[in-house]
Amino acid sequence: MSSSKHKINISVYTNIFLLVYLILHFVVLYVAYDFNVWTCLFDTIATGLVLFLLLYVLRSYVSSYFIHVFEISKWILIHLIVAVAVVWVLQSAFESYLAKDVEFVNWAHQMMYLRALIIWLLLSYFSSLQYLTTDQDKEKEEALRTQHNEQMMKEAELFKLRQQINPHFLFNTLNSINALVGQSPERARNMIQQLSAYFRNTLKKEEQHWISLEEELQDIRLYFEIEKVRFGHRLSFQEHIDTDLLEAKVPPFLLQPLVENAIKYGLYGTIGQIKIEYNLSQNTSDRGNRYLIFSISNPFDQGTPQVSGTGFGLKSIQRRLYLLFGRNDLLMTQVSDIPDEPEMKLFTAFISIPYNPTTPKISEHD
Amino acid sequence: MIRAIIIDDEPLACALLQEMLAAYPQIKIEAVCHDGIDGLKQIQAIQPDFIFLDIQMPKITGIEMLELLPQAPKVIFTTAYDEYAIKAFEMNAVDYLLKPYSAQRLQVAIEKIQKEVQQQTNTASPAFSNLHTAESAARIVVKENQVIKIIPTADVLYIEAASDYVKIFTKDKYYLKHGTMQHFETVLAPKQFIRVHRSYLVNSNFISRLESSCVILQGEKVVPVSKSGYSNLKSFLQ
Repeated sequence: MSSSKHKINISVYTNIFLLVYLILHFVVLYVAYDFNVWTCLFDTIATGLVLFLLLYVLRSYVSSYFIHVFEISKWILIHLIVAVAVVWVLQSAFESYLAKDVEFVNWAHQMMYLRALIIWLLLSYFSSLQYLTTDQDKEKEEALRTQHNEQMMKEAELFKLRQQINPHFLFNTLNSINALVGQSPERARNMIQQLSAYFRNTLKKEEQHWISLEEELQDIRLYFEIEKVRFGHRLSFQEHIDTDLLEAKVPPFLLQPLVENAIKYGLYGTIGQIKIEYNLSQNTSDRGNRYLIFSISNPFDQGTPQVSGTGFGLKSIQRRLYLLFGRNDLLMTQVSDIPDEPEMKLFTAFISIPYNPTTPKISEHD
Repeated sequence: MIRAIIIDDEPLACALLQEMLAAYPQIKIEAVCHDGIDGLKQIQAIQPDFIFLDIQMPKITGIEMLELLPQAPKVIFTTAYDEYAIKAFEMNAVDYLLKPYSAQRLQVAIEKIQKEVQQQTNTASPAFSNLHTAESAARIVVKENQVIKIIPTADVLYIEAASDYVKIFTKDKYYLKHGTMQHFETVLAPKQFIRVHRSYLVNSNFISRLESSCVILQGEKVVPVSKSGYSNLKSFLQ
């Protein structure tokens, strides 16, 4: 609101400024140089028409978009060219329509440089006003956006922390190790190693903005192996990986929460056996953009309404995707039937990660 | 001899507990269950002196399972990390073991339970019903003809008091559940459920119109409104 008001003030101001200039122009011609009144009027109106036309063009077409395409020095040059052209057109008009007033035409010819200088100054003055106001608007918008971004980053940061220190996972795993120490020390040892590797990788990932898919997949497998020790009697998993993609870079902590989500809602959503399946493939959109597609599915019992937690987990992932890629359409979910099991449904989450095989680094400083 | 049941969805956790309990010949584990639904059956069949109970379990939580029992048994919660379970302990549980727990810590719990069982203190109340969990705001677990039903609170039209029970009305039918109106009023989302009468709690999403002494819900169900209920409703609707 305030910025549009601002603009109206500016345009009123420039119009008045221009009118004052034209009146002065007329007065100087008529009083100081004592030219014929019609000649003076013709000159003033012609100059006025051209200047208002230029101002209109400047305001409506140049202001919002083009003004930021060129640098100020270039604009000064462009204005100079326009001013010279205008003076030349005016002078030709004088020569063809005011040919009888030889004295004026000759005078005008002498004054061409001064006239060009005045028009150039006027144009520069108007466009710099325009430039400054649009710049201010842009700055305001920018400030709002960075403020918003910072807030989102904070939330993502919090989410990341929550993901890394999942106390449920840690303490339950330690409890399982505690049990294995007596039963089967070899397996206990194995699980301690897996848990250490998992946490070490998680800490390492914290410092990186992009990691290879291979690393991410290793962590996912580690996570599954650990969960299988806890829930081995119920949990199984299967992966389908396009091995061409292993070198691709992805942001850390993006796929892992989906896996946790699938296991959690698979395990707590039903009593029976659950099989978690995940796929990694690539896809090219109609516009030629390439995407990595990661999908993961878990079965759940239709009769078990879940706590809104599902939504929360996925919402955080969606927010992170928005922070990284500025898009809200990269996470999709789907509920489908499972053949032969009418009570059960399959929940699938799809995540699309924009991917450019030649330059995988979109931004190092997200 | 003290008879107990272990209810935990992780077999290794059950195995560990059984192993540790081998040091206490006076405690006999009658059953090991891996979910609340099986647990419920076993509790009713075996009538144990106490139970070891995990909270996060498939389908229904340990707390939801307790809510379905007319009389809750003595409970030792065994859980890794659960802010709600801390509340549970404060209110009713005999003890609360944080996984992984030591043999010494287990001993303390066993001593407590022995005391309680020997004294035959029948403090076991129907009373696990004051717990606020994330689940309790999102769904209500009921039992009907030995079948456990999980009703999303979004599907509940209104709740009516009926002495020690409440009637939970959904579109097609109602379910009976142990509990008080106060419990449901505090547990269910206060922005969604409004106490319109001493005996009625209404889901605001289903209100179609308000009349002088009653509120009409979708499906032309009429629920009486008291004076204070009327002002509750008005301040909500504004």
